[in-house]
Amino acid sequence: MSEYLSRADRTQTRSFLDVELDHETGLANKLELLIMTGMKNEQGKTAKGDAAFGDGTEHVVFRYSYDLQHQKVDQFEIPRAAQKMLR
Amino acid sequence: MNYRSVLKLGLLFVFSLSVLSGGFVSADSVEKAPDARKALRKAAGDLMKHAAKKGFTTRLAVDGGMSNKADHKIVDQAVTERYTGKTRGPVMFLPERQIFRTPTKGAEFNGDFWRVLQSTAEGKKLDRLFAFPERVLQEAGKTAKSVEWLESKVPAKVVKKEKASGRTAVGGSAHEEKVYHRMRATLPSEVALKYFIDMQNSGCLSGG
Repeated sequence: MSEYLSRADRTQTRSFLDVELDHETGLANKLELLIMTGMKNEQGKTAKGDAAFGDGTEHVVFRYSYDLQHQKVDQFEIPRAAQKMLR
Repeated sequence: MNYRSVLKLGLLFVFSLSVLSGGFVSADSVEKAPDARKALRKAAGDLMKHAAKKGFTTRLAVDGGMSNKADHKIVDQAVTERYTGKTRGPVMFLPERQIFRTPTKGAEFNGDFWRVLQSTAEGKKLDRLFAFPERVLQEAGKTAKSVEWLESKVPAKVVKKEKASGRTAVGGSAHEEKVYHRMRATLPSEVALKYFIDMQNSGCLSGG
């Protein structure tokens, strides 16, 4: 991965957040956050625009998939030592 | 061509046009999609309220690597992280690792004593990678360049109109209402860069 990161071009980044709501309650059920960064080729050049993230062009991808469940969560009993660290 | 023929042709033209444009639609059944950005902001607010009242559980999968596909499928995976956290109010608890955290601070029990979450490499990684979902939504609602509805996965709702009670009523009617529940927010490049830097600083890429 470090090889990809050394070729990552931070001037070419894109991000999308897809959200799915429960159609009954309206609460968010799923989130998918997609982060993309373009990569320089062997000549040190990065494709511009959509071409940087298309078929046949290497790019770095991070995908965060959140799955939310809405059953009740009881109040936490946080030990005093931990509470101090959260203040 | 006489008057009747012209009228017939005219009617035929109007009928064809309406069929081609999706059939006859009464004015009150024309749907207007709700404002997607407002809906995203409302979703963030609703999740905050739900966290305060009842709480929720989050399962997060983080995958990273290299892709060379237009659908961005990872072909060389370098990061695979999985977390589960229960949120109640502003606090998230990760039962498997005995961690309590707020969006800015955290405490982890190492078996003997509590220590600051960000003081260990593992804690720092978790802190960088596991953003609170309500915060992710909130930030997107504030900063998104655009927000659009995606095609629904559930069938349209059939909504019945009630019959009028008067004697002249001709009967009730039903029409379909689309369900708007999936959306895509396009975030600005600065936000993408912030997440990228968080990923780099998490330390989970250094082994690669």
